[in-house]
Amino acid sequence: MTYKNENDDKGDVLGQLNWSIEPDRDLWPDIQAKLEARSAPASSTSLELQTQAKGEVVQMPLRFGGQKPWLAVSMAACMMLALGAFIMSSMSFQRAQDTYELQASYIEFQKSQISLIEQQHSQVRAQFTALLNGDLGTIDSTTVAEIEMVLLTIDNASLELKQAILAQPTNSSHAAKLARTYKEELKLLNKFKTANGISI
Amino acid sequence: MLDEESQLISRSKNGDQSAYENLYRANIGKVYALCLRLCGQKELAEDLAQESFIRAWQKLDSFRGDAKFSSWLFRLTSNVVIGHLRKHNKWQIDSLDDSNHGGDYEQSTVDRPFGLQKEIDQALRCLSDSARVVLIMYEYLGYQHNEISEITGMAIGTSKTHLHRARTTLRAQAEQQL
Repeated sequence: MTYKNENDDKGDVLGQLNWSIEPDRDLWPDIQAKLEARSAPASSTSLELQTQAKGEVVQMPLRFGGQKPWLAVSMAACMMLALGAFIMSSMSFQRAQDTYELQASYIEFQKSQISLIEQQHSQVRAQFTALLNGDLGTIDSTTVAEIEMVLLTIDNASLELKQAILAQPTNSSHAAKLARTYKEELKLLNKFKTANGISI
Repeated sequence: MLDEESQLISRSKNGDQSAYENLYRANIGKVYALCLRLCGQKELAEDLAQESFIRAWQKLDSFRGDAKFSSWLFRLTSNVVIGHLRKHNKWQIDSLDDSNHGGDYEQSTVDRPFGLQKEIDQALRCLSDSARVVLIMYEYLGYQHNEISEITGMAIGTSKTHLHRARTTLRAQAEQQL
């Protein structure tokens, strides 16, 4: 392929168009936010197994169809969040002080659970993204583009939920929605795996 | 200039977002223009340009430096735009039906079109999405028909026919303006 645009040898008609147009707004802040949302943690603890015999690091396969480590965590977190909400809603006025303390610890618990879910999710996503960008050469670029668009939409939704959690830390529904979003993403990746007969 | 670009690419590959921002600043005008001319809608073009830079960041390791970075970026961008058009059923790979003239192509893709640019933009509006994309890929990006076929999924013959019709339409539009 030759890139005519680099040599100013464009088609006689199209060459007369302006091929450098600045968008109305700066797109970089959004791009940067999405890059950060998509970035994976540097360490990968649960995916590696230090074999004692040989001292080698073995990459453990992710099992979308079998065990789902972070799904279990997310479900447990949902249950705990629901329980926390129930406990808080049943507190009497006379126990306001207790409620306050419980609420504070509940928020801390919520933060730690979300952090745990995110860590697990990032690892799964990083593995999948690596496969999408590298090893899944048999899948056409359009399908890859569609998958990446869907993942981007999920990322945007997650980002908004995280912002909502920060704005309303006592509202347990945001955290539950976030956990559910991650769960739905796993279902999507599972469907993709099944549809393409990929063993991950 | 090239050395500076190579350094920015190298730093970006190592996760340096400030270096990548410089690459973005250097290329956003051309990437956005390409998206805008391919899809014909400003807001959509912004989204697709964003997605192109995100995808480029993720695939940066696959850039080996045997072509210009901008060339690699344009190829990736055209893939993103075509992927979007196909996803939204605006892409008839086997059909040569040009009845969807213009589609969602906006009246003016450029804020201040001047002179011939305005007429050419209007002429592009008369083309179907498929014909416009083939024309731009062939005439502007320099793709061959087999490459267009590979990327878009349309048959080589369909690509050639779209190009022929697009050129004929543009010439007819130009003659009308004279």
